[in-house]
Amino acid sequence: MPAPDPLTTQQRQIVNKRLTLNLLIQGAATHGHWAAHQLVAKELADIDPELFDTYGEMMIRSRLGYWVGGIPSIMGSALRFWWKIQEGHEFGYHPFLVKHGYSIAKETRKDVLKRCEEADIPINGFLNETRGIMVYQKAIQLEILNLEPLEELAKDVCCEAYGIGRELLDGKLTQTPRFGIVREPESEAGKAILECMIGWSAVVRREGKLKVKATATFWPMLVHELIKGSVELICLHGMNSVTDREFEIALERTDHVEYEIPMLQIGGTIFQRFLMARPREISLAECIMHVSKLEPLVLEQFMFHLFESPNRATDMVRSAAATS
Amino acid sequence: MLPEAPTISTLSRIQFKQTNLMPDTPTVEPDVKPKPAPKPEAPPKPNTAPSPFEPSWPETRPLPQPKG
Repeated sequence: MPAPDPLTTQQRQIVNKRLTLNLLIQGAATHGHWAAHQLVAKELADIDPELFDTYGEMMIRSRLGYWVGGIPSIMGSALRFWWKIQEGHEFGYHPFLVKHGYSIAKETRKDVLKRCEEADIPINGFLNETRGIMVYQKAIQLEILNLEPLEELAKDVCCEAYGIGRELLDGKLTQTPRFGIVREPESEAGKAILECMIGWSAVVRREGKLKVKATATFWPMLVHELIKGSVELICLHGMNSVTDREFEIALERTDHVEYEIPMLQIGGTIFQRFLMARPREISLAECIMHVSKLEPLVLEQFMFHLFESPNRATDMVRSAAATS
Repeated sequence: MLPEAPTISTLSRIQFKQTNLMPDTPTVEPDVKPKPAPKPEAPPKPNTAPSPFEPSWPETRPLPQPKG
């Protein structure tokens, strides 16, 4: 059982809403990360014929890396984490994560292992780390002479997938991607993970306009960060009506480096359900906007519907669009 | 008193009837009511649908920290 909640009901609902939006943000980014190289295979081949296969192997190894090898050795077993979230973790107050977090984690892990088997990649953390570093180094070498076209191609993917204006995107490939001020992690695991991060994104204000800034050490991660920043920008629709104090509490409770790993683990699967349920006649960006604007308890209901009765989730998006 | 001699116009009608070229029933006049003058065009309504990429955000409120 979770410990007694130190927050008021209203504060908890806003915290949970922010956690849900963070799940969608990280899920959208993860999904884009997995799929981007397939969307622009021809363009990548024009830049360098070896990029596509290199990215393909990187993607499957990076997915595996959330379940075996370096990340679990720092953060602990992923399945154990999701099984135990009710034991004092912030996620333990989030009804959707309590009910579905573990089963989504199991489903995602099973899918990753199946893909590794199909690609003849051994499920071994040490081998995955060592081979992963080699593939990563190869990607960096292939990219080094083509940074500018790859940055533009990453923006193309984001513009095409989300319909965001190119002028709102600032994306750079760099070996020193960290920027901005990030809350110092409290745990040793969080401090270690912070040093390992190879991509960052944020919404920034420039000349009075909100824009997306994204940096990463290699191309698929740059797509990941551009999409993450774009969806963060859209989701600000859902947090702009709370009070300053409520927003401050929500961020204190939700925006932690330590929480990003579990959200990356299961976010992609959640976002795939979102994509399947969204009404096709409404653009993806608008769907996300309408969902982000749902009242906290309605948003919670929407998340349950995504996994338990997807048609009702579809109807909720349509209804939210019609009344906006 | 002799009947009035048919006029050219009356003859023509009889001939036309015989050749079945004239309709028995009067032709319905097409509705040629003048159309009302077009209303002056209203100025286009501003697009009030919110843009997903232009959320309003208080100037004084900090934006969320970068995500890694």
